[in-house]
Amino acid sequence: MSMNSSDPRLKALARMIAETCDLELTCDELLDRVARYVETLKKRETPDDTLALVEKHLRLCPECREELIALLRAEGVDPASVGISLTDD
Amino acid sequence: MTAKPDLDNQTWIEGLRAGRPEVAAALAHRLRAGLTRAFAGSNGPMRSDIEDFAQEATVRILERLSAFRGDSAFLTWAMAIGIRVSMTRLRRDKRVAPASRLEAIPSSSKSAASQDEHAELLAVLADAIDKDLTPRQRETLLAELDGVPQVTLAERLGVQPNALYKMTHDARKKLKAAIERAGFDANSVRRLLARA
Repeated sequence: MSMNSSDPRLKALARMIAETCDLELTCDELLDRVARYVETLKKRETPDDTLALVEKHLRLCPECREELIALLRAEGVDPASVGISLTDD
Repeated sequence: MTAKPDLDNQTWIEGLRAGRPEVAAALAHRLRAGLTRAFAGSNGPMRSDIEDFAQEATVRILERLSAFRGDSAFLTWAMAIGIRVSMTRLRRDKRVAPASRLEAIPSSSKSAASQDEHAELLAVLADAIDKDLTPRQRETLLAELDGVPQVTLAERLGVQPNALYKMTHDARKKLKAAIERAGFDANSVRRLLARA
C-alpha cells in the first residue's frame, strides 16, 4: 500500500521519527518509572536526567500520556497545572 | 482496616507479601478512591467498573511487587498500575476514544521557504514506508497512527504489548535511517515541522 505524501499520518510519523532513539522505554518499563515522574511534577520540580527516557516515551506514546493524565487526576493533581496535556506542545 | 496515609512503603510491601487480607483490602480501597478521581466527569467507567478495575489491579500489583523500584511512594506506583489496568479494559471495550497521534499535530499553512523541503521529507518518508518496512511493520505502524489501541493491535497480531512496541520501534528506526540517508536529521525534521 502506497501512502500519498499529503497523507496527514506522514506528518505525525515524521514527528515521531524525530524523537526516535536507539534506547527507548517500552510501555511496561514506563509503568514502573512513571510514579517518580508524577511525584516530581507534584513537587513542581524539574525532572532530572534519569527521567529523560520517561519524558521521551511520553512524547512518543499517546496512550501512556493519556494514562499519565489519569494518574495525575487520581493523585488529585490538575494535569494542566503541571503543564501536562494530551498534546505535546 | 482503612488505609492510613502514613503507611510507608515497607509496610505495604511486607503486608502484601505476607498475604495480610487487611492490607490488600486497604490497597483496593485506595485504588477505588483514586480511580474514582481519575475518571470523575468522564463518560467512561461506572461505579461497578471501578470496583472491577480495583480488584483486577490489586491482583496485578501483587504479581508485580518485585518490579517496585522503591523510588516513589508505593501507592503512586500502585495507582499507575490501576490506571493501566482500567485504561486497557476501556480501550479493549472501545469505551474511550482512541489516543490518536494525529491530534498532536497542529495543522497550518506551510511557509513558502520550507514548502519544498517539507514536501521532500514527506515524500522520502512515504517511499521508505513502502520500501524499507516489512508488511507487518507497515501495518502495525499505520494502525497505531490511525489510533488503533495497542491492546487491540497486540491481540490482533497475537503478540505481547512489549513485542508490539519493539516492532514499531524497529520500524521507526528504519525510517529514521532512511530520512537521514536523504539528508534529514532529527533537528531538521523538527525545524521543518515547526515551520510547516
